[in-house]
Amino acid sequence: MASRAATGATLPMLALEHVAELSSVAGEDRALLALRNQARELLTPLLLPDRARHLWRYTDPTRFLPDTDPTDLTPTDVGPTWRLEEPLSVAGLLAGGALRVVEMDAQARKAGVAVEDLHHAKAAEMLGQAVPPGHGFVEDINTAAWRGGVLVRVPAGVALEHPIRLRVVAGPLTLPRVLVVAGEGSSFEIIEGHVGGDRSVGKVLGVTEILVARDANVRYGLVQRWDPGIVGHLTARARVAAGARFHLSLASFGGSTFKADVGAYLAGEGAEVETAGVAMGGDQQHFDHHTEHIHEARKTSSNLDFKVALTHAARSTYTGMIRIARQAGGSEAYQENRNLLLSHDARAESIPELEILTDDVRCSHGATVAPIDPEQLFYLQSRGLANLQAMRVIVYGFLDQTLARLPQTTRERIEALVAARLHTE
Amino acid sequence: MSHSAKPVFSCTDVHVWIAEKEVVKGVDLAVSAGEIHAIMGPNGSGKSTLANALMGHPAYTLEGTVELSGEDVTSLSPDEKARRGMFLAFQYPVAVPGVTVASFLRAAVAAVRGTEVPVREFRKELLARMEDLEMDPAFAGRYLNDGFSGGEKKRLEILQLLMLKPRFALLDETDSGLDIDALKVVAEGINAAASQDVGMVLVTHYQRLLNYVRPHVVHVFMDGRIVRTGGPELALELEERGYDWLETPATAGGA
Amino acid sequence: MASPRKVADIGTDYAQRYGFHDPEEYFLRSPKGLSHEVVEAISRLKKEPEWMREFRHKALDIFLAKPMPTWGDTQMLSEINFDEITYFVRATEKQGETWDEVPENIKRTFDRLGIPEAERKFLSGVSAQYESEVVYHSVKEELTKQGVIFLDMDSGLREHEAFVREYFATVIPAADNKFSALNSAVWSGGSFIYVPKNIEVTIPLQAYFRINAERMGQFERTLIIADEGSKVHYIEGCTAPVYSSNSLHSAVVELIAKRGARIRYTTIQNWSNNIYNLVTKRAVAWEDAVVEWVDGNLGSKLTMKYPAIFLKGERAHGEVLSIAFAGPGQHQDAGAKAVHLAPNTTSKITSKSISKGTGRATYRGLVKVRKGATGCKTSVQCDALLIGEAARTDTYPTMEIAEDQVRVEHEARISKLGDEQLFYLRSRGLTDDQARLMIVNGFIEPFVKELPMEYAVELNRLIELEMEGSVG
Repeated sequence: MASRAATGATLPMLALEHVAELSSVAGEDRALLALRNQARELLTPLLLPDRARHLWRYTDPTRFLPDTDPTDLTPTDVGPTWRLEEPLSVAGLLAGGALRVVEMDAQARKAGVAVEDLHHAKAAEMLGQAVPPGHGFVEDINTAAWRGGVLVRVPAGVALEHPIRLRVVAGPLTLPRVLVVAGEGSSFEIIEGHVGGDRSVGKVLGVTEILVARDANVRYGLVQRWDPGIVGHLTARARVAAGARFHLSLASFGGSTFKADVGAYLAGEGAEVETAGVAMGGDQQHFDHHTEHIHEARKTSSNLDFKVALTHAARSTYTGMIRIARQAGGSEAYQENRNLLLSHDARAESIPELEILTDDVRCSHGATVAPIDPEQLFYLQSRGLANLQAMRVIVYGFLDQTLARLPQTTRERIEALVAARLHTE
Repeated sequence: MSHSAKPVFSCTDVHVWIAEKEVVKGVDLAVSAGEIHAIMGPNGSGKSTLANALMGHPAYTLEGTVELSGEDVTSLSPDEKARRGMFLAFQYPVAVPGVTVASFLRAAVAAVRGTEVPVREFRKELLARMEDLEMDPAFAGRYLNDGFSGGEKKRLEILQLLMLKPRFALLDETDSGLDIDALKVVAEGINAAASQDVGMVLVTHYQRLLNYVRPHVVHVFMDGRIVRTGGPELALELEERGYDWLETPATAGGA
Repeated sequence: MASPRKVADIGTDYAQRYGFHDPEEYFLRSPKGLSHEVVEAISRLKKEPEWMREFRHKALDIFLAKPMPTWGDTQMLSEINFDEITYFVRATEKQGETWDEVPENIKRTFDRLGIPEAERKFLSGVSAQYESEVVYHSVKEELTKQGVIFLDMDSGLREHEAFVREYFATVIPAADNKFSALNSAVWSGGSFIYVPKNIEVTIPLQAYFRINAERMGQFERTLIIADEGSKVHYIEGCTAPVYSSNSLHSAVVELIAKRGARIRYTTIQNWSNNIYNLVTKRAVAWEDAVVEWVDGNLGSKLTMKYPAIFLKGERAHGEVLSIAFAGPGQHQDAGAKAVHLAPNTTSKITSKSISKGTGRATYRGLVKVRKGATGCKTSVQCDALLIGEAARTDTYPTMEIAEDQVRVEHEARISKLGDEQLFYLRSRGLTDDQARLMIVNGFIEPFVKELPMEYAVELNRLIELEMEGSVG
């Protein structure tokens, strides 16, 4: 994690005056308030991460500081309704700082799936297991001041036919918190979509934790398509138990500045994690993605494939860490990051890192940065495709291998967004 | 199972486990000098496991007794077995990048013969054997099995057989992945070794190789056991009838 | 940045403040620790020009002001006690060490490597000089004829002051990092080489050839200038373990390859395992120039070294080929930097590391392409071999690409010394030790084949010792 060295004399201020009030108004129990206070302690004084370290070298951390005291907000009544056109197990909407809509189909209801307002779900002891206090200053701000949260709990042995959809709508300052608890041997797909921010500027600091119990199979998708005014930081971390599988799909399209921290702890023997991500940036967009696969147990395996396509003056930073602990022998891990630069002003940084603390491993990683292959472009043009069409075809091809790794519903969703994005370029 | 001459290789009641699973379930073999045995069996019957375990592969647990010329070598390491004249031609020889064929073979020959062979003499011998196997001399400078085709790997295994001059050789699927010309060359190498009193066991799935190498004894291996032993005619019978007619262990007839 | 003239502008009162010590007496009294008095004494003892004296003092201020690096092995770095280090040892004096004080394992390695007696004493600091007069004379004649300057840095400064002043610290300013600042303040020894236009130096230059070659210093300063169209290969170090009771080695090496020039700089170093080896090496390659760093790191407690190439002229090419061997308790934090500042420049980085026992090998690299540097190509390949379940390897590559018309590739592979490879080789009669050694030698083969024959042979023998665990 980023070290918490002081950056200088002029420390930015962070007001978190009304934690207790927020907690009591929301009807939280003491344990949850204690967790909030623990995070607030860590932010006093506020120490921003060391910019010399790579995790924050390319993105100014002060961009994510709230402009007003996030504990001093009141939930606002927001209009957006959500027309559900596809079959879903669960639909949940977080907007205006509160959990608004929960719909559940008969199968999920019968199986005992629970979707609760996180403020009074009495789930404090589960919060912080994948994103503990001290994870980072943004996450700590969320832990101290989040408002509008949802707990999704799928009981042991339950396999859901349709996906769970959560939609999080960005307002002027939004601190959503999501906790997903997958029971032993459960199996389901869950998509967390981030939208909104159409009117003006806004900030989102979101944290999602996913606890995957033994032998469960969770396909989680994080899809960010904010409107251009949003500056946001999303953290999604999973803790994956023995024999469980966790698939993380990441798709980043929107916002002006977006930093993501996603990953998984492979905490039990035989855990498997796959992360597949695509990011498409244009205009002046600034993306900063960080992924981590932390192998803590024997015979765990992880695979990561992250692709970035950039147009205009978009900028992308990718940092990725694969760590195989001393006690995690017999593990394998692969990591690949490819960046396609579609314009002269686009730029990309890639820092794929490995820390391997034992020898009984199979591990490799690769990264590339390259423009569109002029030979490919020429070939397609010679077959009658106009320049723009040909570029689209190439970008599709570039992303397709990664998209093919996504679970069905997530894939359809993300493919549609890719197509929309390509055709507005 | 006793021959008049003391066998160069024998194994008695050999069982092999991979982790908790018993893969070879009691095998006896005795091979005399210059004798060629074929072990034939369907895929997955445990033939390769047997070959690797006999050589001392660390991933397998072997029970039973393995003898080379009457000496008990059961618990010896692979290199000690090699130095006592045992050889395994691998089904999938691994690559060791950065190590040339020549330097590897020179080290192996020195280890097995127990004495350094002068460079010139070694070179001469190596080139002669390579010529026998119709190998390009440039081959000696390539990295061991690194980027080799399947056929090249198999030829290199036979080259090692000829250079190391073992008393007993186990050839694991040496015929697989070879075109007909390569197969003939490899077979000549095997016959040459046999004519120099090497005892040999050919482990194979097909009888293709047996068109060129005539085995004295043929064993049928199924589900971890030798279920039938006969002469060369048994191989032809297998070619015609497949393995199904031997399916149940009850039909195991021994010799 | 730290060109001599600018440094002079910053502070001119060093002479008033520190200029009254008698250096000879000073070093008799207080040999350890670092201060402006020490720097003053070093400079006066060497009878250096004013600008160099100012440069040293300024550098010391920078060193004192700069914090320790917050990256790398901060734990090991924090264990360096700067007050316990002797910053200057007169070259002509004995080091105050006797053969008996040289650790047994170092002596044993000398035996195994077959290092001659005189050289052993030199390497272990017992004798201050090691001369190879016969070789030297023929080399010297040849070089003089060609107009090549090949001197130790102190002599270079005395005999070619204007020249040195023009280029010194232009590639690595004192303020580049804490340890380049330290070197700038207390440097001594190293090589100064100038190769005139279109001259090709056919034999590799080695510090050994210099007359009165000093013992490998702790704070060497090397500057090599290859003029247009020239070609030179410099070899630093040797495979024999270098023992010093002083635990810090911090060199600065600057290379300048002018248009069409070619420099290869080969390092094989095998420090004893009490040494912190913190080295700054950087080259500038102008139009059509080629710079190659061939860098072998063995031994030391902690090595931090990232040979860099700044590709400033069109079509310049840079290569870094390195191996690192981290034995038990050692950390080799090494890597490479390629900075593409001009169009159509190319670079290739190949790094191979071996971690054995509790050894840790880290690759830390940077590939940077500046906007406008179109048509660049760069590839990085890192291979790590792990031996033993406590072995560790890290890969920290950074790619910063501000230009679209480029191709950047990075690839890393981690492997364990393979059971299947071991079984294969052992089934051919090789013992476990022989088989392991053969696999490791194969692994570093691409590096070894770039070395001159005698170095290759020595390195192979050394790896053999390392694999037995009997060295350092």
